[in-house]
Amino acid sequence: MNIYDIRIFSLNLFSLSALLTAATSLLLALLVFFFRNSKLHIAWLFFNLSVGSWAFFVFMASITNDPSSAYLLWRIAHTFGIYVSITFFHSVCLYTKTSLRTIIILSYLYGLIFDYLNYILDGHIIYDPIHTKFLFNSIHYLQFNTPDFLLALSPWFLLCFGGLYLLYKHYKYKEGPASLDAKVWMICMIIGYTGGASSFLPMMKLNIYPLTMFFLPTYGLILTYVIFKNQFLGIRFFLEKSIIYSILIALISLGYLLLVIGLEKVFYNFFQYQSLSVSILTAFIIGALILPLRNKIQYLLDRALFKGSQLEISKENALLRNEVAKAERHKAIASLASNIAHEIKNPLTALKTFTEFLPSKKDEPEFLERFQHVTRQELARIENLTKELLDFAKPAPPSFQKANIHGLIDEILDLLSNKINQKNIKVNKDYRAAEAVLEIDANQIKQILLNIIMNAVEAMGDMGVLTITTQTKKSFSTKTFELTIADSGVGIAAEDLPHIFEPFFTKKENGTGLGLAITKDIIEKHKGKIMVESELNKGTQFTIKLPYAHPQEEK
Amino acid sequence: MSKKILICDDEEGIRESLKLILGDFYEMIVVENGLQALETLKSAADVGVLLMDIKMPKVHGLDVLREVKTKYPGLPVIMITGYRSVETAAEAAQRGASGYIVKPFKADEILDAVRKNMAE
Repeated sequence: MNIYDIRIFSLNLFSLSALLTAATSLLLALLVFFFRNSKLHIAWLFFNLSVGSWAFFVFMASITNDPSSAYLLWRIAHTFGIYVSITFFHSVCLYTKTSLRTIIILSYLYGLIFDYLNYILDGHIIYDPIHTKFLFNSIHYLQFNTPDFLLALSPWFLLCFGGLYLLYKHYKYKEGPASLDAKVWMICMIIGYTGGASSFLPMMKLNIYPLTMFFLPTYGLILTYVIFKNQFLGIRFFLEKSIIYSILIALISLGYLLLVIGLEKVFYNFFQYQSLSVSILTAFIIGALILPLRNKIQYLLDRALFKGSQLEISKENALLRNEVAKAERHKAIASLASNIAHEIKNPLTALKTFTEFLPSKKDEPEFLERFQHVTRQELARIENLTKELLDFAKPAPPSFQKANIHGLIDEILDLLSNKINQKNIKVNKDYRAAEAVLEIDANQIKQILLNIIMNAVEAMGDMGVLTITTQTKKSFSTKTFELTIADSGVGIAAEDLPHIFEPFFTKKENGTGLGLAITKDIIEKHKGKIMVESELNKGTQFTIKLPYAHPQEEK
Repeated sequence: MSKKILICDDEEGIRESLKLILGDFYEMIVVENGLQALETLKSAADVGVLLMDIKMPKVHGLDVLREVKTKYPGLPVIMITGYRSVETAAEAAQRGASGYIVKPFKADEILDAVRKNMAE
């Protein structure tokens, strides 16, 4: 019993594989035809038509009993088959956006020339004068004149390798889900070409039964699966989900049935035994295997083809997040710019009005006194705004040196002592930190201390309480310095709390709204954190955490 | 011209500017926020026009406008603002503002607006 004696539906395996190839390729072509929307799709459509037509005529050639019909049918098959590599190469060029117009045009020309050689002189340029040989007990197999065949088909092989090479380059150097398509396509084409090429072997007098022809419908089914799952080459589906499921169920049932019948036949061919119980047993075994098998196959397929896909998806996500962040930054800058313009309009108005009146009122002492006062005040405002803006826009990179933070706090309290005494504010200092020496930019830290303590003082009326505590917090291998500044002032409303660190957010009448924004920026540059808690009319507490050593300097 | 002008703005620079422009022609009452403005209107009966800033920290100018127009519908209110947007102008007009001046303003703009509204 030989493998080529097996018959399924009275077809030998080779014919069966050719028929399946024709069916799957033409189905693929149909799929692409309905959902085409680009030149690439059209090129690939013709590729699938070429494969399908070639396979169909191979099938016809393999089942015919008449040698001369077989000879003709084989040649018709090759008429279509020559375009397989040509359309593949063309598709890849379109897909990778490689402009090789001349080569593509030449390749189609080559196709026409081959077709010409196929038939001229009854094909004797390429084919053996003996035309066909009866092989494998069933097939009138075409015979090549091997050296001439290799010559005639060498461009075909070149186009095949050329296409695969372009795909490989594309896969290697492109990022994102697009390269996934390239990878899948490459693998499938290699599977397909290997399978299809096996049909040449007997033509070159290597009488090996071309079982690997079954690779062809396999690659077709894989591609169909990828189209469904991943919009391969941008073929998008908009079918109703229910229709897809119905079709899938019908196909699965059909496949199941065919499998049962097929195995039954194989069984019969091998063991000359057929019985109902065998059929039922077969059906049962297949049924039991099919679900876990299906899952396993899907898993293996996904692993092999989509191994990188999680990575691709997360890469794409990162890119998208970047875009969103950029858009938000742009929006923030635009609103910042309009805020700045708005802030400047007030001092500008005052200066404009007063200078307008200067010529007519320059002799009025009262006017001159007002003029001096207002212009000086408004100019100071503009100056202050500019300074804060620069601080905010281009904060000086901090220079980290060891400094005693308790000393800095005391300095600031000293600076504000007048105001504190004026308001009769009681200051509670609770320096509990075991270590007070941190790697910080002393000037910038003084700036934030000034900002927060000043806010605290201004928030309190008479007889307020300002509490400043420091601690060293240890956890696992890290040490953090924690500072809290609490006041018993007016507090911040719950709806304002999330916005207080935003630039230009202020409830003060003459505030720029940049102080806390700059503070937060400085703390973040120190790799620290700032948090706030507040209750209206009860008070506000700022908590600042700072690392002892600036992280970059850590060994 | 016995009617006074009520000026309401949180910024000293603007208050001084308006005082400078109008001081030679009118008598003025100057307040720093919307609440003070409403207080003044309660007690003073001879206010002919209200000049008010839109963006103020304590109570927003547009809210004060609504209050004033509800309580004193006959009193013309001229809004002053840094906002150039059409939306804010429309909003102000909808709430009953008789005029809308954008900062930085010219002395003539202020005078014209006041003159026009005082007469009505």
